[in-house]
Amino acid sequence: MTILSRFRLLLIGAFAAAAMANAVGGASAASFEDEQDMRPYIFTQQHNGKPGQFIRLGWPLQVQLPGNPSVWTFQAGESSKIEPRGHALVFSPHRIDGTHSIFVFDFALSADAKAGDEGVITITTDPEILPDSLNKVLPAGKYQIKFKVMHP
Amino acid sequence: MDRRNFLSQAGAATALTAGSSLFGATSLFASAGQPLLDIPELKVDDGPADLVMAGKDFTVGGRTLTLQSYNGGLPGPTVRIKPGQTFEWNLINKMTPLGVPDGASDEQQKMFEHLEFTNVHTHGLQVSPKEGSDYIYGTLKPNEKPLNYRYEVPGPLTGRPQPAGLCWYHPHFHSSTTNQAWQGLAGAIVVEGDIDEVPEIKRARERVIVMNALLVNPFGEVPRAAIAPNAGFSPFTSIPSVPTDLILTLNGQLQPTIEIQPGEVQRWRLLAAAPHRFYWLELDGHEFYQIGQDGIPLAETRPVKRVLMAPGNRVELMVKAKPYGGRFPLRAIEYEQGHPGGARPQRLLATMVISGDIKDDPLPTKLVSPPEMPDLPVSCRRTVTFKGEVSGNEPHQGEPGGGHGGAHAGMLPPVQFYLDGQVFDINRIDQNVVAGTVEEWTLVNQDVFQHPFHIHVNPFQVVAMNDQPVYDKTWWDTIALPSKGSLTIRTYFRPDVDGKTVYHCHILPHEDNGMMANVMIHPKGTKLSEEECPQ
Repeated sequence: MTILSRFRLLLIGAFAAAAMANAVGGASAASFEDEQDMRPYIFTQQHNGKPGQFIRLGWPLQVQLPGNPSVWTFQAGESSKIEPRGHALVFSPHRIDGTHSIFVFDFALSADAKAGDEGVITITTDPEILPDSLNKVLPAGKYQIKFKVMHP
Repeated sequence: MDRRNFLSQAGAATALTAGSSLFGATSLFASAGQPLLDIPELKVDDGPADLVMAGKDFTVGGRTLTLQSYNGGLPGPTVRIKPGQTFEWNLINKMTPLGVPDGASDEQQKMFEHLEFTNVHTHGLQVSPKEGSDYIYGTLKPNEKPLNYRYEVPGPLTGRPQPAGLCWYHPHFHSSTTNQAWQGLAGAIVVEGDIDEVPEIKRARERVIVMNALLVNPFGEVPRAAIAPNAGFSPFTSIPSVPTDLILTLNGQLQPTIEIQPGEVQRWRLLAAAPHRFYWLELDGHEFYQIGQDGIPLAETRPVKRVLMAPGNRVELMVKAKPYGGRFPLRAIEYEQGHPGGARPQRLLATMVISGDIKDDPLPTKLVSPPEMPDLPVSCRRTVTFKGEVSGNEPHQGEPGGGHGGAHAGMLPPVQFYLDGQVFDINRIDQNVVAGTVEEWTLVNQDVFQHPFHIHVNPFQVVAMNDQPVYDKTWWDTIALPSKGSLTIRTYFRPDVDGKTVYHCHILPHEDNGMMANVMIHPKGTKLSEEECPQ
């Protein structure tokens, strides 16, 4: 096993543990509908590079990207007006060729975000490992959502 | 969309708690628990009725939703008919755009104008699919001249009357069916007949229960945009993204109570009108006694602990309350239907409340004689292959007959779904069959998605699963295919109905994105070529 693949296994393990903790912590049917959370803006690979996205202040965001064995990593240095709020890995085999899971990233608008601001979320993976089934919708293993902040 | 405040509409002006649960959750639906209402009925005995589609505000679980409706109802009104009856209605389209995403340009709004185009399908009625009857190729745009539909429901004189049971109506304009189903646009058609005269059924209190799934943004409107599947509580997102909730209602109500006396037997006619969600139904502490499937009665009552309903299915159940008081949840329990991200979560649908005087109503055992499959040789054997593509990575095939939403060859649509490797083309005949013949079709599912196969006009029986024989005389018009498996069905194309119609996946986002095909039912006696009639 290469160092790279060991690292990937560790990462996947961490994601899986996070997913399990979340499931134990809040997903029972009885409590689920009683919680006070707000639904997030959800982005998938189909949103990559699409224009015209607005985000209302105060609302959470979530990015879901197919992976495993590909590993997706949030790039803080190439992102703005956004703060990570945890991540998880969800088992989703046989939906998209060459992937077994969905990487789920939770985000919040940054504390200084105000209406009229423009922001971006950037998440990347190793293009050498990205399966052919995603090479057009996620070219070069780069995922980017540009958005404009608006009043709630 | 600045007219309203996202936060106040959602009733959720709470601190941001993203990440505290994996996919977010909500308490937007606090005011549940009202008694289940009976759905108003639409009289069709006295000449053409008007079926008017228009937006309306509804209060669901204490929240205001603005949805397109039939005659101002959520769901649409129930229609009662009898075999041999002819009825008419005028479909009137007064829909205006709802759910326009923030910042949508005029161009984008124009791209989705087809979401207000419509027509209507009478699902389960064995009537002509030709223009003027159950014709699903028509286009009715807002404020155009109404479309008139006239249905000659087969009676005893045909030798094969419409069975008694629960059918339904819903929009069927290719590319807008999903959006309109998420508005709750559906209604029940009750066909009355022999099974209603079984004494134990006749005396039972009847409930027509329409189960809708409403996909709404924080304004309480269905997003007017392209959609893509995602993991989590609400299974679809829009492009551009808006937060969405999936609200499961019974007769337009959130988690109502169903009142019943101890020992009382009620007849529940259940319709799964949600465009995507499967319902694996379970009633705490009780069994169901099934008497019908997809509008066709069974020969004998069938006790079942749970019943699985794919989108489009109907079941008729007798429910006998325990001989003591209590509250018993009716749930759609967790079910893995193949959606990205895993099983659809368990949801509370309603609570059966037992109270009052004790009764001991009898349950039926013997029912009626369901239609028989004619003893005819199988004239043709066909194979239909189901395959979906949810990566968003596959260039558009082009869709000459249904390329709405600005789709063009080469672009990357969010999803595409294929029958025999092709997306729907309104101008292509995919199968040629002959009225009055029996055929077997093997439906091969290459996906984990459990595509529910539906064919218009003629019901079918299952004769094999994964090439292994199945001995079951239940009639279906919609049935979920096994993941990565196959079903072989046998169908009889009734001799008195010909014309062009469709078969498709009844997960409507799949149908809207290509998984539909045309079948031409030729008049009785027509000779097919070897190519048209594979063996």
